[in-house]
Amino acid sequence: MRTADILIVEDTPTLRMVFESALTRAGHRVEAAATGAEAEAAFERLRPDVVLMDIHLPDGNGIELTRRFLAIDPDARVIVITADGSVRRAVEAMRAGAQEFLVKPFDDARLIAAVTNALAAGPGHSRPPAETAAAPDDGMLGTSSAMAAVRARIASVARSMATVFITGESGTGKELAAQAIHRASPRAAGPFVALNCGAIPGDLLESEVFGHLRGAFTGAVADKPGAAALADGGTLFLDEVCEMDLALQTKLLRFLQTATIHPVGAPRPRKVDVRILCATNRDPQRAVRAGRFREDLYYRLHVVPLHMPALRDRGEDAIEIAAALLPAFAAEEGKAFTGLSDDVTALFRGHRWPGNVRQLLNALRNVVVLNDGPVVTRTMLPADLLADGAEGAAPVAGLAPGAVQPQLDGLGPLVGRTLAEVEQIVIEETIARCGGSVPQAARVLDVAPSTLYRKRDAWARDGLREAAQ
Amino acid sequence: MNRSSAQVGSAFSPGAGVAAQFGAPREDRPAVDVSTFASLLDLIGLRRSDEFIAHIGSDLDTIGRRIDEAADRDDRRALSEATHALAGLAATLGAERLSRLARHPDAARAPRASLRLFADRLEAEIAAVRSACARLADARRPI
Repeated sequence: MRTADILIVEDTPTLRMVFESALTRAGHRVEAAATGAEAEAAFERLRPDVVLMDIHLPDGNGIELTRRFLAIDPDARVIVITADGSVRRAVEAMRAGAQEFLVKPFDDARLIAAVTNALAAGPGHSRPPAETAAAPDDGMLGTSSAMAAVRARIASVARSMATVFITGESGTGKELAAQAIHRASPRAAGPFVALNCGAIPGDLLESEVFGHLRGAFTGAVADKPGAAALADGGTLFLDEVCEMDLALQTKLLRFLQTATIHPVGAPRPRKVDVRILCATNRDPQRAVRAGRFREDLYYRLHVVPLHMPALRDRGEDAIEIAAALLPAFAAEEGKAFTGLSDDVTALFRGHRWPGNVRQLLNALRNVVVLNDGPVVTRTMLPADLLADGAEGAAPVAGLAPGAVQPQLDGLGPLVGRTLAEVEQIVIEETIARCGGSVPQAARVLDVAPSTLYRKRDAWARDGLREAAQ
Repeated sequence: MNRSSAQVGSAFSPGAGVAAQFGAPREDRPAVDVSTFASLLDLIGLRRSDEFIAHIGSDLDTIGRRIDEAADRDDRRALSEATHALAGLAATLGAERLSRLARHPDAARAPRASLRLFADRLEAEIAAVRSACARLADARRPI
């Protein structure tokens, strides 16, 4: 194994001593720094091959320091270490050019492996890709050519006032793209207001978009500024725009033509300065042909199209996203996962991902909450993912077509019960597997914790009633 | 209190649930996992084990003080930074109970009174970890 010069940047002396001992014993030359200032001086003097960088430092932030070090020496490899394994942190670290993101605790073997991997990567490997470095902090992971094209398009449209029409399947990150455009635009200091046109009843949508005055209709007990007014000076993002009621489409068209809003019950319209971004997971032209979407509004909105690619069309992105976020999820849940087994990697690579990135993240979260590491194996995957795979995945070498069956066998005891009973069994079992944590179970089941509390309360009342009878 | 009202109470008064969880120590596992800590001592080496134990004591004291002060000031950000540092240190030492307590998801939204309880609970657990580390190191010294 190659001997390397390693700089440890860690403010807790106990941990410094542990890391130093492990790396020295592995034959590396090690220097340690307790603060950002000490680290900068040591980096200039030593020009280390690898930097082991804690995120939280008494005089600064390890992510920022990572950027500075890589700007000075793009061939340095930085391994970020933290106890704060949040998804946001992992994304930040990778974007700053970190080679790896280690979440404490990790044993000496894991540390040595990370250093060995870092040294094995070619010179300049730690340098963030140019398009990623230039992109806003958009929370979008993946270095596929499809995502590079998305980032380039975002960078080129951000400075314009043009309306951007974002299309893509559910879970591809349309709102993230809208936020990225806003953040990279001259309006970044202004508000970003998102409105889901499909989630608001038609009769309330006009008031949600344009606002109303007190007494304008029954229930209007106070003045309410609409989303368009709230976004004044910033960006208004209309998600699921094809779901908008036809009557309101007419008003939206007028708003786009005149840049004025007319709150319900207001005596006169007022000017607002808003950039419009919109999105849909439908084919907007088909909606136009079906008469569900005004053609003139479509052409007014469809100035710059931006298509978010499906995860199955993004090459190795599913693997990259899983590798970047698995340690973060594990840290959040207090688990020890570090990677995917070979067959899970193959399955992820060939999967069709009908729910796209959202489905991948939900599957990872589900695995981490209900199991423990260090490696994600096929038997840990949610049954629906394996079932999807059986129906729609590209063939994966080494996997028998009937491999999904053992998962489905577990449904046996549920068959023959009412749907309400099945729901109660699944909820209670999930809570039990989450160590009794209702919020954690709610994350797995993708519902609000209050929903679970409410259901359990109702079951308890039913139980008391039955006991009293 | 009947069962349903107790459940409603825990659902809508997070403070009560937090206090119950912070105040209920679980003694089902040792403060420090013996094999994890033994591996660390092997890694550090006998010659430097006193220095290592001194660092552990000093780091736990320092972080414990930061948590105490943050709880007194109701400074959530400082508390979060200190508990993150404690979680990482404790996990590395094999003090899983302390690490889990430091990462307690309800701490950030706990009412001020529960925060004090949280800090006191951490302090007790820190003391247990500190003494367990010293005891385990002593046990490995040659007679």
